[in-house]
Amino acid sequence: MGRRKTPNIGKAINGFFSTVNKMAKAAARAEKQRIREQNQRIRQAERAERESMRRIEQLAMAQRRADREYEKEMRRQEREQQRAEREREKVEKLYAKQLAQEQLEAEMSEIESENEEWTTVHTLAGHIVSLDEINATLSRCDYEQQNIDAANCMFENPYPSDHTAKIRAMSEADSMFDMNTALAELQKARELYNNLNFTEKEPTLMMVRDILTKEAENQIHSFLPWKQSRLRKEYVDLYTDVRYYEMHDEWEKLKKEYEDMKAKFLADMESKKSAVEKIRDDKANFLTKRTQEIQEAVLKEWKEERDTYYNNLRANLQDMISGDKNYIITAVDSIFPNDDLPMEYFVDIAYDEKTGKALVDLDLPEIEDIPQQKIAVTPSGKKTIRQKTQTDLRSDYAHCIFGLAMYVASNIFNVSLKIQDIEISAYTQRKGENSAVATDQYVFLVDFTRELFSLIDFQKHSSAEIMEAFKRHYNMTKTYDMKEIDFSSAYGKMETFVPADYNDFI
Amino acid sequence: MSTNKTEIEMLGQQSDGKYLVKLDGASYLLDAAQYKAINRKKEMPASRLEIWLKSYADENI
Repeated sequence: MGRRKTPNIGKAINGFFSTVNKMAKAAARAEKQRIREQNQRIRQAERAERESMRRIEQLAMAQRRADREYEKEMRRQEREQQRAEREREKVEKLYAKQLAQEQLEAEMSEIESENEEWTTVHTLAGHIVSLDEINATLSRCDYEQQNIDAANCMFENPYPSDHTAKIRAMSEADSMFDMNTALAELQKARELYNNLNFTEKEPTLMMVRDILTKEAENQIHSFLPWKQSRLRKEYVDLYTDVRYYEMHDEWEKLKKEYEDMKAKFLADMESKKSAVEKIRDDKANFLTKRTQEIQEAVLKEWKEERDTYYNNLRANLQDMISGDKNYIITAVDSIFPNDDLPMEYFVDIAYDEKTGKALVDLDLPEIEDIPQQKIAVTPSGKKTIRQKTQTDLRSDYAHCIFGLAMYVASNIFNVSLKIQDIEISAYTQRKGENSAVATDQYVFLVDFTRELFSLIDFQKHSSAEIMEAFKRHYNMTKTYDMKEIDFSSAYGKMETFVPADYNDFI
Repeated sequence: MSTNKTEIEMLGQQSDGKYLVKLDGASYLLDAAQYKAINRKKEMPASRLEIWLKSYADENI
């Protein structure tokens, strides 16, 4: 027996410790690994949290940015809206300003026009006719009345053409002659005639045999074909002639009826045609005759109107030359007042045939009637509306009433050549200083002589300037205040007034 | 034409409704409007008044 091998305890212990050591190391490594992993997880968690925080922060930032953008956009829109509003207000203001300017200009234009109307009445004083002009017009009157073809006549209605007469005659003819109905009837008869056709075919033996063959086929039947054929042939042969004559007679009867009807329609159509032609002829004859009648009536009326015009013109011209006092008074009364002028006035006339002097009592408008506004120009050159000063009103009033006197005189001079001078006494209604009652106050006297008056150029000077060419009297201050004149001395002052050189006014 | 002042007599309304006016011895019958017009003109010289009165008198014929 061998020596039992003794276990190496030391080795075993060493091995055990080595194993324990290894296990401890492994455990330590495992712990380390765990801690490492734990730390790693913690770091990852922390990183994730940081990431999350960062994202939240980013989102918050994005939100804040979006909010800022939104606010910015809102502010921008608000600004835009305010700007649009300001723009709209600006345009509205501009439009209102433009409208106001236009209204102002229209108002100013109206004021200017009204002032012009009131202060330049004298420019309406027309041309004063002379005897030569009247004689020339009388000669022209005679010539034109005697020569129906004279050109550029004073009587302005043209020679009537027969066109109007034709239209009137045509209108009458249309209501008298019913051509449309006659034409419609003719058209209807024509259509009846044209639409009536004969379409029946004339029967032939072959046609009859075909019919009979079909009848035989329908009516004759036999089991024996040859017998059937024979019987059918016999049927056809037997009835051919009879049936042919029957059918032919029937066809001829129809044809006769057609021809009779056609002849009747033709006769009817011819009759309608004749009726249309008769109406046409009658209408044409009527038109010719009626046009002539109407034209003669129109021409007669025109000639009468023309003669009346020339006779009246001649009579008026004769009256202008030699009309008596009654004519003059009546003529003047018929002229005034008229609508040519914007103011109210009244003319009373007395005429002295011995001297050819017309006295005119002229009721003037009041100073209060004068337009109260005027157009002034500011130092910057802008036109503006201003209330007239008392001096403005008085000046305009003076020009107005002097102009009115000239307008009235020019119309009266043209009533008759016999009127050699017109003495106008003009008055207006004024309230006294301590009275509410207006009384008539004469404010000027003027004596217009025909000879001088007809030389004056009324477009060239103001009425106040023109007054200086005539004997006149008024009591007017430098500020155009027209005082009441005193008749006890007024006529004397007028007679002794020395007019300016008339050459300055022609 | 004379401008001598002559007194006009405005004699007022008559029983027939007309108004009587005298000038230089001549009488004129006027209607109310004419009378008023002459009254306004009564300070005019007689030569003018005569023309007016004759004219009014002619109108009344």
